[in-house]
Amino acid sequence: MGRIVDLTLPRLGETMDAGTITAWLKAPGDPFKRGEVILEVETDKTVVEVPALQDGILVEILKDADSAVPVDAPIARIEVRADVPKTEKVGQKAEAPVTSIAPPVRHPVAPTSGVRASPRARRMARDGGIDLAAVVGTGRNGRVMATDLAASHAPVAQKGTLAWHDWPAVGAARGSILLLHGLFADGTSFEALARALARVGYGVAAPDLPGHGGSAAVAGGFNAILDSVAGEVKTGADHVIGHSAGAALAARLVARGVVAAKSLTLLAPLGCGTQIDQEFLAGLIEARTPAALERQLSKLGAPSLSADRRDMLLAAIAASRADLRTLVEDLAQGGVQQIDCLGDLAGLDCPVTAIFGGKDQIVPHSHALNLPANVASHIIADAGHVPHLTAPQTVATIIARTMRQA
Amino acid sequence: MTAVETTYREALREALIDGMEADDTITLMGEEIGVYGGSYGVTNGLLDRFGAERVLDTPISEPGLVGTAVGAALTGLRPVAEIMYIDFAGLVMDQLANQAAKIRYMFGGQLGVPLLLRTQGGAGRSAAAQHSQSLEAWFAHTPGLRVVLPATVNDAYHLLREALTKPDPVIFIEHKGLYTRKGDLDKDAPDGAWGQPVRRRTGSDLVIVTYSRMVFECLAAADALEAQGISTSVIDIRSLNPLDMSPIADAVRAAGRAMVVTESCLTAGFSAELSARITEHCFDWLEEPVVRVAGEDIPIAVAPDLEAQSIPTAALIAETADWLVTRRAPQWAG
Repeated sequence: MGRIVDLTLPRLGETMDAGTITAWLKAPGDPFKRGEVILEVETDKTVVEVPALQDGILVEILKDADSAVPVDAPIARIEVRADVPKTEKVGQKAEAPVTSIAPPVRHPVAPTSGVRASPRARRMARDGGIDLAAVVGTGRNGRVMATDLAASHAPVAQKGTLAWHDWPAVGAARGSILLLHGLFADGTSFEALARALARVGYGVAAPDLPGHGGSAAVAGGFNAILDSVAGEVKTGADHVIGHSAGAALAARLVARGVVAAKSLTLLAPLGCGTQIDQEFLAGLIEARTPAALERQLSKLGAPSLSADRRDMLLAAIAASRADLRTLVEDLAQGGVQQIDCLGDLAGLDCPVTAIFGGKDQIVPHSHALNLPANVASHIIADAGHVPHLTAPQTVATIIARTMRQA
Repeated sequence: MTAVETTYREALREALIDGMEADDTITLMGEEIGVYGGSYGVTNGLLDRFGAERVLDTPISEPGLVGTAVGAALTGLRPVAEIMYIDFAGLVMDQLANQAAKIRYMFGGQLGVPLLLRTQGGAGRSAAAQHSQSLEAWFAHTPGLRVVLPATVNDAYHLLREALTKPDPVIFIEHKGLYTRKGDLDKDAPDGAWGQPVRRRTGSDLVIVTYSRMVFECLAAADALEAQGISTSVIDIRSLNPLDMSPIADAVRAAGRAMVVTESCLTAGFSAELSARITEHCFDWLEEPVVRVAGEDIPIAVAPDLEAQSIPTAALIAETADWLVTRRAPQWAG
């Protein structure tokens, strides 16, 4: 059946040190079931029935009735199934278990031992796939707090003519990143992505392009915007990331050597094919009501704007409608993109990555096929025109990989 | 109806009057509640208005009057028994904990005890160690008793009216330091539903969970903290049983820091229960351990200066909150 183990005198009360066996209710050779009474023991207080803790056979009685026995001393030998966990002490002659239970598999855990962190920070690290050991804690005794993970977003700063958003690197800075947003957006549209990049050690800066967010409009279309950004990025950036029209801008800034970038990432870029949803562009420029705005914005396939942000966008469009029309004419007319950055990209020798949304309704992801061979492209199947809002973690991971190649 | 300014005492009196007019089984019984009008004046004038059959001056025997009330509740009345000081609770615990709280269960749900026990507790009037305690935890530890503690004038009215409709015993604990406090009463607009905590102030850095008179100390502390740039939520739980934890959990999860403030002494008090529940509900959202600020584990002193320091003050609450948020030690801690 299995293995033979010692049956020891159990402790039957808190104060019991020893007991006297008053009667054996089983004889050697008798089988017993779990819960069946095997013997009776008298303590200094009472007589107690001792039940079996598992099925088995009484093999040998070591202490006869009327013997006084200390707690835990062997009183009999019993045979039990080999695969049950050892609840009795194994005697010298015990056979080796016939079958053994595999020890539980220990899955590797994130190397957070020794890291001081609040439960909140631990949850955020778990959810965001962040290695806590790599985060600089600012709490007492270097404890990592939630705020250390969500890198702080410094207030908007006006340098020159543009409003800039800055996300300082958490911990020692590995490099700087310039983010360029698309039409009708502003620097805050990069919030989630910028925080993700800041907490892995990059200092992130994003301007509001002219006529967007906190920056005044400039006349002169795409080239004027290019000049105005070029005029303010003198300090340069190690890596450049652009979205939509901002991607075309980024490609041109890097191709012209205005920014000596070590890598370039394009998110749902313009300038990589001819097709574009002209109605989207025209619909936004001519939107006078929140409903008209919302009809177009819903095509982005991104979380909708709050009412406040929608009103701000309406006001911003109204304030620079004429300049926006000029800009859009530079970019697209009659559903055909007028700008081409494929030439810019082909000449780059830094790592270049393009990320498209598989459900982009503004710029089709099939433009990925037009890209020159030196550009790596990724298509995020479920994302629309704003992949960094729908899938910030995936986008951040791809960007981090691109930057590491530099 | 629009809100009118009145006192906590007057709101309680109006709740009794409106309740008694709506339900003629409501009968008041207690020491000095009739001719004298109640030791804090809540039942003033009710004897004249409702007569000696519905406003009973009882002998000075708490076990007798609460036992009578339990029997009256079992046989069809809705008694409102008044214990002059909660400090006398020990005298009536058998009637409450072994009888009133368990009768519905012991008799298979065939009958209940719709008893309202009004009493008052708390320090602040130099009433000394035997007349200043906050003993709500004794009742909260007994399943079958509802325990409510109104802080605001509006809650004094609405929680009392609602308690007078419940099928089971309700321990209604007033605070002796609140009777003369003024506030708005709107008879059509309760502060919140029965058993629901109410947020008295909204802030983003810290949540203070409290009840009864400490609500006002916490609000004063929150004002002081605001001046230091710390934004504080104050949640008044109003009821220890029933108590819906979800609004508290939502607030704490958002802020990441929580503090519990009670006037009752620290050890084994309801502050411990709240702290444990918050930790259980919100552990993964907490930046720091939940901190309790509670009464000292001492008999309340009669000397006003010592009495004031026996229980949490707005200054102590603000200092502790500042420490919890900024981890700067208060001045006195060197």
